[in-house]
Parts: sequence; C-alpha cells; structure tokens
Amino acid sequence: MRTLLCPSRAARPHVCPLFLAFAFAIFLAFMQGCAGGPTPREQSQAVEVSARSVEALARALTLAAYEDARQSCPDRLPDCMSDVEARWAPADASILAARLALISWLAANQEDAWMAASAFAMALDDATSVLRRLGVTL
Amino acid sequence: MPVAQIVIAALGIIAQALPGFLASFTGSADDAAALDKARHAIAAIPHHPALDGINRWRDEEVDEITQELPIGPAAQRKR
Repeated sequence: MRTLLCPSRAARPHVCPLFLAFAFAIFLAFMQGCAGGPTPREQSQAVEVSARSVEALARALTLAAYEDARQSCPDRLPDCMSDVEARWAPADASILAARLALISWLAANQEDAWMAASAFAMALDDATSVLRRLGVTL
Repeated sequence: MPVAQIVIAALGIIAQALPGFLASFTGSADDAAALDKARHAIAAIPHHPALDGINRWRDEEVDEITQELPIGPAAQRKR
C-alpha cells in the first residue's frame, strides 16, 4: 500500500524520511508555541500602532468636547462649563484606561502579551462605546 | 540511503528556521528602537483630551477679556 506521505513504506519497511520531516516540523511548531507570544519587536510595533489609534481617538474627542462646550455654553458660565466637564469625564477616563492598558501591554513579557493585548482591546472597545454614546463621530 | 534523505530533510527545515533563530540574537538593537518608538507613541496620547477641548473654549474667553481690558498682556502689547 502506497501513501502520499510514505510511498515506499510497503516496499521497504524503513522509517519514512518525509514522515520524520513532518514530525520535526510539528515539533518546531510546538516549540514555537511553547515559547509563546510575539517577539519583543512585534509586540512593540503592535503597541505603537495601537497607541497611534488611541491618539487619533483622543484628538477627535478633544474637538468634539470643544464643539459641545462652544454650543452648550456660548456665555461660558461656570455652572454650564462644569456640566459639560461632568458629561465628558467618562470619555477622558476611558482614554486614560486605554493608555494604561497600552503601558501594561508594552511591559508584559511574552507569556502575558496576548492577555495584555486582550485587555487593551477591551479598553479600546469601552472607549469607543463611551465616545459613541456622547455623539462623537468615529 | 534513508539516512541521507533524513539528513537532507532535517537540514532543509533547519535552514528555514535558522534566520529567525539568529535574528533573536542579532535583533536587539531593532528591538530597542521599536520599544522606544512605542513609548513615544504612548507618550503622545493626551491625558485628558476632552478636558483639553473644554479648556480651549474657556481659554478663548480669557483671551477676549484680556484684549478688552485696559490691563493685561494684550493691552500692554497695544501700548
């Protein structure tokens, strides 16, 4: 019986080199899996790109808060401005949380990198939800 | 003959894995540069972006008042 992996197995009962190579490749993949997570450079690059996204989100937030303050408080009365500040405080808190998640992600070792990335993703999702609730166009 | 095939197959796989393996030793400078760029990108995120926007509107008022009052930096510049 001939197989694709080991065509000559039936003819000559030796250990098939292709099978060994396949097993070695699986072993290498397994060892890479055991090493876990991205390389330090990949991790830094992912954090950098994510940080730029959060920065863009923060810039949009600044403009939206400015517009809200300008339209809600044309006379800039202190009570009115305090109300606007209170309304936008959760958005600042969510951006701060995303920033802290990025710092944790960058400081995470390879084993914890995926967990830290997941925590950042959740923080970013929370921030975008808060911003959408406040009417910020994303 | 089978041993030669095994060795050739193993060498082929090692040749594929070797560049990545070596890069883990030689890429430390690139790692440091990438880490530095990531730190800068995080530092560029404003701490209180919404409050910054609200304060920008509040500061525009201050500028208008100082321009109208006969005192303050704007008035001194006019003199």
